[in-house]
Amino acid sequence: MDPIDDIELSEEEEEITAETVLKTLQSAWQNERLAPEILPHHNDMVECMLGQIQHMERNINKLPKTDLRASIHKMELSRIKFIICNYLRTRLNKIEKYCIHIINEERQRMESGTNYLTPAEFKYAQEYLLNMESHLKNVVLDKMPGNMQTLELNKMAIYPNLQTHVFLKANDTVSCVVLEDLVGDQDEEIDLEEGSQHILQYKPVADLVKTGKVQLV
Amino acid sequence: MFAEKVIELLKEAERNPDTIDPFNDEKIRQILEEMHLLFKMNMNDANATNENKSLWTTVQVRHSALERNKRCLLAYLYDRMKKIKTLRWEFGSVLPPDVRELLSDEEYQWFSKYSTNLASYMRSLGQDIGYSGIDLTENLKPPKSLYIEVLCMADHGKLELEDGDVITLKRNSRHFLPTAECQTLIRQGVLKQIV
Amino acid sequence: MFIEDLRNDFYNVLLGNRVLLLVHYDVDAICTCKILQGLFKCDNISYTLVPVGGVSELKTAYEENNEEIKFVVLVNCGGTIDLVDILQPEEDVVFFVLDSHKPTDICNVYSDGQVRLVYKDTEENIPNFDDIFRDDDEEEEEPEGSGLEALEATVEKRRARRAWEERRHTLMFNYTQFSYYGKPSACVALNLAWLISRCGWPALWAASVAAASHVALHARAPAQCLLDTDTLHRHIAGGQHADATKITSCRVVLEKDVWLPLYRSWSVEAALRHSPAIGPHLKLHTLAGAARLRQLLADMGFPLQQARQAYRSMDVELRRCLLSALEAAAPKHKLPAPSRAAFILQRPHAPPRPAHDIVYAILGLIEHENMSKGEGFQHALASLDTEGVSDSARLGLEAAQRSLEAVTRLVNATLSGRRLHLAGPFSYFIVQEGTPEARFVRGPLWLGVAARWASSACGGTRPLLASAPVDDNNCLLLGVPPRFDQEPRNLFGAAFEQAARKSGASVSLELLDASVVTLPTAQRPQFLDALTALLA
Repeated sequence: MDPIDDIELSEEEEEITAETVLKTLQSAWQNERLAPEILPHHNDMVECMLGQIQHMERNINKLPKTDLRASIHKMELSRIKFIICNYLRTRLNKIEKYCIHIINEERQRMESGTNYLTPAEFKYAQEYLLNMESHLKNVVLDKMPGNMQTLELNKMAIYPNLQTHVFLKANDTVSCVVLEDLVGDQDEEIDLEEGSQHILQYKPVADLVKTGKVQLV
Repeated sequence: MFAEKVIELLKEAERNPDTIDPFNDEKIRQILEEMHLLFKMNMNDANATNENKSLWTTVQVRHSALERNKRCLLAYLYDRMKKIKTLRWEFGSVLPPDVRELLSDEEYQWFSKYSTNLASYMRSLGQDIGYSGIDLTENLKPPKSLYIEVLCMADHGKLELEDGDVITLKRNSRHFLPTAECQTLIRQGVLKQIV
Repeated sequence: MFIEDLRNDFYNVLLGNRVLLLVHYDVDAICTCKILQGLFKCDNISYTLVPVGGVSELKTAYEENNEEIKFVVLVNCGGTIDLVDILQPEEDVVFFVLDSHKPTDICNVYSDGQVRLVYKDTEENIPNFDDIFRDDDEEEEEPEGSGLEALEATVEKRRARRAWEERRHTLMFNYTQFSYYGKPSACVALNLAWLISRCGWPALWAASVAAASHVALHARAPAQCLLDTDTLHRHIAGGQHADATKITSCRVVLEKDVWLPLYRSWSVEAALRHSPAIGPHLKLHTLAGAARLRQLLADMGFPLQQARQAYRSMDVELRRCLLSALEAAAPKHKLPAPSRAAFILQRPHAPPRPAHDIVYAILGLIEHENMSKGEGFQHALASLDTEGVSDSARLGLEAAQRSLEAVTRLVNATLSGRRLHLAGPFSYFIVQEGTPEARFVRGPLWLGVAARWASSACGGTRPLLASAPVDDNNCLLLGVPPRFDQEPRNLFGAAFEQAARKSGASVSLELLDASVVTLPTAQRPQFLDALTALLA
């Protein structure tokens, strides 16, 4: 039984229940784990959920220790905490792996205002890159002969493989998804019905994942 | 042949995918020396080639050898960095001394910087709503139950629980404790979970 | 004090608190521990489990773990000793004692709430409070009047007091004279599980193993054993009707089975030779013994080659008729009844496992030749699992086989080498240090098996003492009463105490089973002399 608390968001008039927040967070977590590249962040959901957890913990501590509801709620809380931790960790792993690429892209995106990373994450990424560069310089690059001493970031960058195939389920009806054909020359256009499930390459549906029209499973 | 030593280095790194080997300072020094040697030879020949184009291929071969050395060295270091990162997630920010020996000084410096970076990120989580940060290194596995039964493998002394109880951990004693309390000790190997 | 309501006064008190569980090294205690663990896990009662072997280990375990613990549950330990005196606990610590060792110490019975005994055995004749304790204020009264009347009154009072003291002395002597076992603690724990509706097959299996252990180790008279397991039978019968058609999980059934330990994982001939119930009567230490065994097999209709094969590879027909053949052939060789109703765990996709096999497996694990006791204890707990695949049961069965073989060899060698000495009213034998079998009988449980074997091989009418080396300087001394299978009440507990006092030997009454003591090997002869003089 989720506690049905109503939270008002300041910008929108909608009231969002804790249940919806949890569901959004769960689908964001699923998407993040299955997508090859880093997705836009859902930091507001995360913070909202954290606040909820605090609230629930306070309530549980008021109950007597042997109450069955206390243990059930505690289990649920530890599951939610695990989801949050795993979500954040997956993002961190992706940041560390695709560091250079992400920082470059993020700089472009920051100008247009559509960040994928939270400010803290961006700072983390920059620090990480700096550390790595200085470490490599200290250990080997400075000792190498003259014109080899530069760390060519472009060559070192790892790019996420957008061609990987993913399972997906369509949340809304989407028309005209263009599937590129890399080998031949026959591009296909398909429509996705609501509720249908497909296996596709990630690249064509990347935008759809980010806007929430499609859910990775 | 050129660039053979560096292959050995890479093989060494690949041999133990789970654990980290001691930092092979010696080999790296040798490889750097080889690179300097190649570079010097190249410089000599490059200066000489301005007159005689037949040495151009030799210079090219040496140059690619140099590039290869550089690339493999960076790969070796990068691989070690990945393993060190997993160490941070396993052991926390303080390494046990036998693991500490396997890292070179610079690597240890990098480890501490990485550790601080991670710690400051974790602290910043949830700051807006009054959390003092979440520890992401806990909760590594999905929780199965609230309490688990553990067997103590070594004398560890006293453990204090959240609600104030103090437990003495002695060898061969079994305890039934909340999962959250035991996670760090299980990772360290002091407690073993009994299924 | 005794607890009347198991559920409210024992279990509900523990809910929500942390508990210290102290468990003795014996089969019954391990089974009870398993049942209690299952209950605590269901209700998220945090506990700490420490196995203890004797009084000093109990004391150390308590001292190490007693911070912030308000409830201590003692399983098969602590009932026979004065807990408050020995452990010196704080005022608000409560001890729940579930001990099948009897007689229960009087101070525990009449404790005012700090020590609570979970089960009251009706067969214990506990003396009344007034007969044991008496206010001493009356002594200090000065005679009020003076003269002859006052003098008479004082004399009268003194005489009454002396009579009371004599009566008290007799009562205490009668009460503590024999040491014996009460109902298996696991059956009490099973009762508790049933009261709180958590009585499942794992709990029933643990209780069956404990009941089988009391039969196998002759801790209780057969009639009493049957009475103890009365509720167990009812539960098992009830469970059987529930899912009779499909066997998707483990079940415990009560079937008539051959009373040969480990025969399913051994060969028939080996099981017959090493069975503590049948082996002694075949008198294998004599020359005629081996011939008798072959004759028995022939009477059963088993070819020798088949009987020597592993049971699993034996002919299917022979396996089926093992029970009936043995029953038919037993009276002819004057063997005791070889079959009785036994608890068997039926598992899907695995051979059935009888409870008495597990009894010996647990004995083998906790007194293993190589493994430490603590490790053996963990394996023993794991071997009681009904679900899951665990190596522990297999380890235990192998260890039990080796120990049984060693015990047989030992007793046969002792009897054929005439090393069973007669001394006064009892016989005794000593296991020499350095023999390969000495390793196996270092603990009281296997030494007991050996002693009972020797006793039945000699007719079983005299008390028997067995001694085995524990380490370089000390040895274990264990006493078996005459006719132990009918009358298991053991008088050696009190006898050892008195002999120790008389002979001045530094005997340590450390172990919780009063009929087993440890003493330095050098002082053994003088102790035995004192004992002979005492019991003559």
